[in-house]
Amino acid sequence: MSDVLYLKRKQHIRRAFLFMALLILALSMINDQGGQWHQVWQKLPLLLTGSMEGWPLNGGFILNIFIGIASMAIATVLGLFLGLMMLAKRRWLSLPGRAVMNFLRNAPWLVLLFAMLYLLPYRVELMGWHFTLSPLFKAIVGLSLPTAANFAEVIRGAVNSVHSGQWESARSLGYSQWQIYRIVILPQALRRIIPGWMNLYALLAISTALATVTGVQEVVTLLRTTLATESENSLVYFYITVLLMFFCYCYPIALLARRLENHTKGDAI
Amino acid sequence: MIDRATSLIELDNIHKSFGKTEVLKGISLQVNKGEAVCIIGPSGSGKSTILRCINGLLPVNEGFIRVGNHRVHELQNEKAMRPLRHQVAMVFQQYNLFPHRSVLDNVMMAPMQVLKHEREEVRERALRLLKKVRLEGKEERYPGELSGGQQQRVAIARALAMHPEIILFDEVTAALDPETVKEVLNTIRELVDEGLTCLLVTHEMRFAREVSHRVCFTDKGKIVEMAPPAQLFDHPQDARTREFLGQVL
Repeated sequence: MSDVLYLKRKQHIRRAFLFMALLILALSMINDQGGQWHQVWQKLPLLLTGSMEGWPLNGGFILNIFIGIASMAIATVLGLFLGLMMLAKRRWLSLPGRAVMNFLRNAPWLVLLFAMLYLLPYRVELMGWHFTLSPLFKAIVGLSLPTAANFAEVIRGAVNSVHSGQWESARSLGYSQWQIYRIVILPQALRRIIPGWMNLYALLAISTALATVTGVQEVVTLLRTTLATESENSLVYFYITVLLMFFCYCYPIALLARRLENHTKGDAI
Repeated sequence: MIDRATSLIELDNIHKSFGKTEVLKGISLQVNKGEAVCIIGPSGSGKSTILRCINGLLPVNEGFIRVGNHRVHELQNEKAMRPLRHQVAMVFQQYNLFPHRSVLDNVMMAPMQVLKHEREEVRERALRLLKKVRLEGKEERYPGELSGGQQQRVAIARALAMHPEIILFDEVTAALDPETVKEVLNTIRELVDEGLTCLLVTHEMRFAREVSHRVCFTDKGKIVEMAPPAQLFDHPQDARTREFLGQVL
């Protein structure tokens, strides 16, 4: 009983400290004219949206989030196909799937990004239409590839973790292979796929900072170009601010994923 | 005693290996319609494997299997197995209910999705079967909320909903505590009394003696002795059978 009280009090005190720290930070940002944090505060719209007034949206952290979501959308579709390919019984399907997955999973993300930058042409012609492949597009594709490979592995692991007795009983009831996947296996695997998918998204959101190598106006590029004129002393504060941005965006996602994961742990078999 | 032509299940010289270990070394067995046959023997003697070969869950390496009109050893893929699976149902040691579906759904799914039977008719059948296994009132529960014995009875209802001619029971009481074993065995006894053809792998010797028409004793991948229960339990002919019964009785 006293243990519970102690833990509760500990939690309260920890929260109070966090709240105080945030309050001091906010106050020094707004009030301390000429201070370092105040300069960060004035440039905050630029970091977030890429323009000083906060509108229009030219880049900045908003662009990072956009890259993350777009890459995740592509990676989800691609990873689903790759995952199902790897699970196929036919070897001519599963072997290439496994090869692609292993190749992409074991490549450094940065190298993949550079590779996309130079591998994808600047202009493509498709059925008489001309497309310009922007650096933004290349960044999105480059980040989605390793994410897709990781997602495929998440799917494979979740499907294989469904107890083999489920296969046996579904087969003995006369279900076809595809029906078993659709009706019995995937619904059970989905509960284990979702936390993995969220973790992957958090990882991807952090990695969008790598997109700076393609030259898009995301937050790290802004730090290195627009803010390069700031004094070296104040630059530290800007970097810390950007780190906090990523943390505030990604940590809650990872936290939620972990909670879901603990939720699904109980239902074995 | 057994007429080959009229038997419902016929196994002849079945061989089955997992990798290099040969699990079944020439199993021959006939089961008549309406007969209850128990398979007993030490663990690892291939009892469960025999059942899985009969409904095609495991392919055999060699031998002849006939169930009704189906020549099981000749069926090449899952699709060809489907008519056989409608005829033969199976109940497992670990129940293997679908945990993401309610009890009623578990019973109704396969008749609707596999046999394409009418929903209302299947629902009626499912409710009747759940009542038969004394689980009325549990229809909307999920398998995880039921006790082992109750789950196993849902599994039996699920198997019966397919209107099988044969049910294979694979050590269905092995994962249950002694008290719930009784409820499950009573359910099986009723099915045997109603004339359903049953093939049971079991460790419950008293139950085997009481319920079955014939008992097979298997050891090291072979059927050592096969006889009516009174004879096999009271006057075992083979030395190995005597030794095994001496240990478990």
